[in-house]
Amino acid sequence: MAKEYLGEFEELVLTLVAALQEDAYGAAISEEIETKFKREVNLSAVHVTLYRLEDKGYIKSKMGGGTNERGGRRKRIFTITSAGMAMLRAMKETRLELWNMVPQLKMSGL
Amino acid sequence: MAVGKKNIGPPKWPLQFLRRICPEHLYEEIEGDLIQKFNRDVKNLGQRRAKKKLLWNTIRFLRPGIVLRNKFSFELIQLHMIWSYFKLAARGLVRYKMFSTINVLGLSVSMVACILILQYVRFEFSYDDFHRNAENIYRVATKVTLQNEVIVHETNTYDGISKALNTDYPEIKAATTVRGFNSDRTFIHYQDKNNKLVPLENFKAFDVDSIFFKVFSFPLLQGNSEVVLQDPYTALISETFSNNYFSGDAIGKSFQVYNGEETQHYKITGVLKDVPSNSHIKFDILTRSDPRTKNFWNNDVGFWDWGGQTYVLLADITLRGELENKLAQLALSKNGLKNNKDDYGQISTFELRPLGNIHLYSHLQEELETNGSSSLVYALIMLAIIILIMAWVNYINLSTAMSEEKIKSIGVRKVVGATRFSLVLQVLTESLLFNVLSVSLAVVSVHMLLPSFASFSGVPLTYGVLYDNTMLIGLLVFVLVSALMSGLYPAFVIASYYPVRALKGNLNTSRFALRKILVVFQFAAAISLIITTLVAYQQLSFMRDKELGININQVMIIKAMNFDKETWSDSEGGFTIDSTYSNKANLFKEGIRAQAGFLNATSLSHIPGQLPNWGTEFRAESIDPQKAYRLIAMGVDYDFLSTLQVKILAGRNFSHDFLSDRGNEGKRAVLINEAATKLLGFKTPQEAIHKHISTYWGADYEIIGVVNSFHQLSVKENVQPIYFILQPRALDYFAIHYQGRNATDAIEQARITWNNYFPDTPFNYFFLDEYFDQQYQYDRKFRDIVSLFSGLTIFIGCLGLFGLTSYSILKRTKEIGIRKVMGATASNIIALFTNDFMKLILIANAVALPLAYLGLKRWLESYAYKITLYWWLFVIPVILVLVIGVMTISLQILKVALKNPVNSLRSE
Repeated sequence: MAKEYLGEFEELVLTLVAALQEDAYGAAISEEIETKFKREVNLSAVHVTLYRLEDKGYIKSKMGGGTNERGGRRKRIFTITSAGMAMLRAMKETRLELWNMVPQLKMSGL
Repeated sequence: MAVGKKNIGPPKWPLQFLRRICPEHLYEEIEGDLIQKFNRDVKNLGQRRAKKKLLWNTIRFLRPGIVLRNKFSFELIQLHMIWSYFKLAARGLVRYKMFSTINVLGLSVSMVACILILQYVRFEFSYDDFHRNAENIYRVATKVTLQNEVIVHETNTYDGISKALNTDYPEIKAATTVRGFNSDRTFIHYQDKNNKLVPLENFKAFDVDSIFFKVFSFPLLQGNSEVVLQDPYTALISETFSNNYFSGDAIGKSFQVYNGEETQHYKITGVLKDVPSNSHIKFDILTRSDPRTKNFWNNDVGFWDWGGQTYVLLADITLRGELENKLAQLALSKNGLKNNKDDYGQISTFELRPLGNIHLYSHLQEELETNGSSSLVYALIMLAIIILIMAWVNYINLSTAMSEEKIKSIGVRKVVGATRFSLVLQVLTESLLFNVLSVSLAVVSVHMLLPSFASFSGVPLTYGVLYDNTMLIGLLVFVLVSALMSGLYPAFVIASYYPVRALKGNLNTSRFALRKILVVFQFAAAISLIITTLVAYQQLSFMRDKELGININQVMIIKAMNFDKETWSDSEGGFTIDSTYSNKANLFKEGIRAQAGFLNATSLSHIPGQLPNWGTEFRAESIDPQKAYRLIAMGVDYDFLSTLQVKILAGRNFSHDFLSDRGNEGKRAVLINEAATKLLGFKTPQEAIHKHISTYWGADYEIIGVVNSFHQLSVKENVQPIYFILQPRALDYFAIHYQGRNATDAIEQARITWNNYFPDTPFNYFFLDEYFDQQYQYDRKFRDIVSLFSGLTIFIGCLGLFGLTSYSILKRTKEIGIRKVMGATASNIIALFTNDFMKLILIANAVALPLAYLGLKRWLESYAYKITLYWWLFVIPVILVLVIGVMTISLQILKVALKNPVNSLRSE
């Protein structure tokens, strides 16, 4: 586990898959990134990241329903696996640890 | 895949592109996401920007993270499919036997023709390319004009030229001059094992300078090309000569050369590999002597003395123009210095010709070897292309026709999901299989035909296209191109069938108009070639049958060694001759005449079929005294006219009774031919008799007789104006007219007589009619090749016709049965089928006839005497093709038409 490493964008996508739950598919995720983070992202980048995360076993997918807006094409709904959940948690904890090491007072003391 | 396309949705083609690159299992959701994004973009940004964004978003999917996900499955499918295409093609090959046979036969026959032609063409173009600096070597040729008329245009050039080139021109690396000599006029003796002097028979040799190997790179077996010819009186001989005469151990040995005047000894310093057959300079021996110091007139050699063939090696190809300018200036500055009286008023200029195109394009006087014919080469290339296209046409016609047969299977394949691309690939695989099969068959046939082809074309066996690696790659490319050419059209026709209509068996047949056009093309080609063959035959036999005005039949020619010692003396006004040799020649002629069966014998300087390289310019007082008229000169003896049956039109022949007939250089009696009388402005032959004509440089000749204008050269050329002078000394040839017995007896008889008088000189003979006929060798070759090819085109055309007919019969068997039941006769049914093809052949005629007429008219213009293009020359081929076509068709139909209709109707 310790060797596994997620890139910043991978982590972002993984977190969104966990957050969006039943609504986690390519177009929705990229829209979420664009609206929430005001960050330009290409659809293909999101898709490639999703497939990579799936290869690594952090998320799994199944085909969902289609809508008119999508010309009848079905969505691929991604859900986070427990391995993915553990990864997210581990990352969050290491980050917190690191954060705690930062001397907060010194900052305000200036 | 076809769900929900009702939306006024996104442009289709970006999504089609996506389909190409995206793995199947990911495609749907990605497409969905793209469409969803597009629809939102339309709301937010408008249609135009949304479309642009969609395009961009789609293209961005072309990235390894997507594309690589379908890599492995992709390859597996392709290999599997290609194997199945091959299986299908092979099954088709076996199943439709007639279709396959016709295609393979047509393709392989045309490929054999193409490979053989390629071999010949490549050989002709390869001339002299084996020299290391081949592309920088040029030959200097000479053009001599008098009053703006070209009187000499030949490969020889002057002594001064190569000297000047070697010293004064920095753009030239080296310039070498070669002078040919051979066993006709020179003796070479060598010492055999018993130290006896033995003559070399039939050799060709060149006297060269020490620079020879700086220009040329003929390969040496023994000796170093840098040093072998450095010393005067050294020599090189060919491998064959070294083996035949010196048992392979020639270095250090010597031989002696006797040219009638003096004997020189040469030491052998090297052995040459036999000269390649694609060299325009061919020899067995190279000698190097001292430069000559005295000329023909016994004066010191000057700039304007004839030397030999001169070749220069340029430092750089771009310097050619510069050198040409300098040669023009040289000619300008030196022309005034001509001091031989023969050259009076003549202007010489020099031309450069690249070594590589001497063989096909030069055609000057005094070529070292008969040049090839570039027009024959181009005609052959065209014929090869035509015949190949004919075979492709057959393939295209038959496979589109057969595709109607296979239409159900194509329909099923389409319904099951074959894409257009895979159908195209399948048809192309099939044509590749046919082509590979045909080319293999062709290669085997070429391999077997090669020996007879080599003797027919003169291309040596070792020069085979098949035994050359680069050519094998060429062959491979050729097969691929051929497969594409023959398969591409059928592939698209087949791939474009609509599945449902294909399954129902309905076809829109109007698209097969192309098939008709192709048939028209085939027959137009066949008809034009047959007409050409016929005209070529007619023209050649017309030329050979034409009255020459001189007898060449039953005439034997013996090469004489012209060994009179002659010395020019200005005080005597001509040559002084030591006449021991010519006395012997006269005795020989007397000896021949004394025998029964020999009618007469004469000696002459040039025989019919040779253009005399002599000539003098005359003034015609009656027309324009300032103008020069060039007459060709021939030296003859008293019996020339009677032996070769040339007629006297006015005046008299040379006679022993008039001592003045012999004359000297300043004053002579001459005979002229009728063409010369016209040129010099005499109205009738009688008018010319006893008139005096003067040469441009002042000699005075009296015309004593006029003879008919016989054809000195082939009938391709106009008759030349000639004057004849009496030369009692020995000349270059003896002509003997024999009669009343077969040729072998005459040869034996002549040989015995010859050996009595000239025991040391080899007896070299040939027959004048055969020699004369050699002038037609390219015409004969052309005729033979065209007739062979017209046979091939008609064969391939009929193969196609045969295939198409048998297919349409197959399809219409029932129809024929019904027609017969209704009362149609066999001839009705034949007419039913032949009508369509007849129409096509008639259209082919309409295309071919004008083209053939114009083309042949132009071709015939190159002949001085030509046949008229009579109407029957065109009608016969048309009838011939119609008959062959109808026979091809009706032979098959007859079988069906005579059958009991019950049988054809019952079959289901």
